[in-house]
Amino acid sequence: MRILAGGDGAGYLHSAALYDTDEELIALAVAHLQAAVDVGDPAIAALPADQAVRVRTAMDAAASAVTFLPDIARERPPAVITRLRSLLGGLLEGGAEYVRVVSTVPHPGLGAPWDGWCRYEAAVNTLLSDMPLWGLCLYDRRITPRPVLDDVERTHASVTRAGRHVPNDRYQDPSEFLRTMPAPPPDPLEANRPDAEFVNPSPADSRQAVRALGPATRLSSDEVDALVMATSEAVTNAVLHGRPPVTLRVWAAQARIVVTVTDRGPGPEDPYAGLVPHAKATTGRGGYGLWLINNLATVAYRRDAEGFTIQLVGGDPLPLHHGSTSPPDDRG
Amino acid sequence: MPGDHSYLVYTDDDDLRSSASRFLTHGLELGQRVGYFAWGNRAALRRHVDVAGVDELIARGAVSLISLDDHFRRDEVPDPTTLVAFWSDATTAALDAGFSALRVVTDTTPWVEQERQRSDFLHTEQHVDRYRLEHPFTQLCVGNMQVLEEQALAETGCIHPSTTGLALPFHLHATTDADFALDGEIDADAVPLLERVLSTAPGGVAGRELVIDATDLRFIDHHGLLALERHARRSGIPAIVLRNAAPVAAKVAELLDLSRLRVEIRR
Repeated sequence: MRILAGGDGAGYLHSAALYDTDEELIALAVAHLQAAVDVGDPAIAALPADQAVRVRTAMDAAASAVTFLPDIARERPPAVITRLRSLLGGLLEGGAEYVRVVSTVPHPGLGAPWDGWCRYEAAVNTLLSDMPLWGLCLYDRRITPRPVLDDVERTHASVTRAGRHVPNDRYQDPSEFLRTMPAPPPDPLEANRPDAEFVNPSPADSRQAVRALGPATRLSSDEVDALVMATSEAVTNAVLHGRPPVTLRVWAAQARIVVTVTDRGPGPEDPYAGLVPHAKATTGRGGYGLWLINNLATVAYRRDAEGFTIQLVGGDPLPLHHGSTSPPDDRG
Repeated sequence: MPGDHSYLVYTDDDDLRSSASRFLTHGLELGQRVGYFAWGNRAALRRHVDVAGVDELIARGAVSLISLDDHFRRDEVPDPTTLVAFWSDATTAALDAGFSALRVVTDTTPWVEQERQRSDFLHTEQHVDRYRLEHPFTQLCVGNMQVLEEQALAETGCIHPSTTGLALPFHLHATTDADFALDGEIDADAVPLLERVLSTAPGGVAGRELVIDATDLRFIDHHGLLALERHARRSGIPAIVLRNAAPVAAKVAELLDLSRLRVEIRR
């Protein structure tokens, strides 16, 4: 018998499970996956390698019925959404009626910045709402920062308490959450004088500014090229959709390059902007810019008295979250 | 040995005279026949060629001054077959006379002044660009900045492999291992120019893939990739192959999930 957590099971149920021990993690993941395997539903695990190994071992032969995906920490949020929709679409076309996914979402406790993944956690409630899917997101209470746990509670319709999935009364409307979520702190490099600064740069100026700083860092040429592309798209967007003046600032450290593009406008109105292409993208004339930027760089949005700022980081971004205290600038 | 093809924008007669003369003198040093092909009478052409011993060089056939008015109309661009035959005959004559190649300055200003006529020129000239790649024919096309608008200069310049006196985002030109080579940088600002020259490009044969070598294409964003995809659709080309592209261009193309553009990365 198929047991559905969210009532009729027609749509997406987005659950969070908080755990305190490694044994608890494995028990939660295995129970979720095994329930799908038992009734012949597709079961998908997107876990860090060490967790995946332990789940496989615990499930023994049943693990062969589970699709293990690479750790999503290697991807960027919009790419995960694209891949999930594609994978789920294929499964449903193949006759699947309900799919269970278990995943570990990157956060500062795991070394990743939170802003993009926080937006992901809120947005999937809407962007996957048409999918007959139960997604269980696993968070280790021992290492997850308190403000992140707070966001987790506000972005999951159900949470696991004492081994039981229960509706979460702290869950917030995703659009509302996305519109009001606090911005992460600036990268500590931003306290310094920028290595390059332009007012009203052309996209070509912005590309050259980032390229010129690449050799001073440990970033690979592919990483620099991706950031050059993201920067060029961000400046193009600011010129096309923002309000002048547009200011480009770039800071380089050994392991990362930080770019900010600021315009005087309010920024994109759509709370899901950047996580999926804009609706007009289907016309073949634009609408991809912000989505591509989010696929190519680690991105954070900020709104303040100066206007709207999109921050792009290439290389290894610092694991910041709103409410976190930035470490001192080590230029490392 | 293949020839070169470039575009020079001149500001006045002095600028034209010094640039053209330098170009022609270099050809003479290489044992080439050189020619100055422009509009007007012979005396006017002679004033633009400041080459040492020019009259003696003209007498022995090393330098020729040809008025284009004697062969073409200013208000009508020759079709590709006619213009390529014109340069082919001149190149053959140079070789037959014992010169190693033909090297010419050509003032194309009247042909590119009007937009509609310029479309014809852009098409015809891309055939000439292909011709020079396979023959010992080198051409410096020149355009008068005082006559031509910025758009005319940009469109004309960017179908030449190189330009002088004009900053352009990219060049689309003939190459040996592909239908075209694309160099420079293409972003949203450059897309209208790219679409314009693609619309005049030969080689868009329906039913056949169009291969563009991107070895020297430093940057192309999604606006540029979408423009190539649209060109393929409009022209009935099953696929445009962007060969030797940067990995990030391939990644963006993959994200866009384009059906008529294949991006192959450089090794």
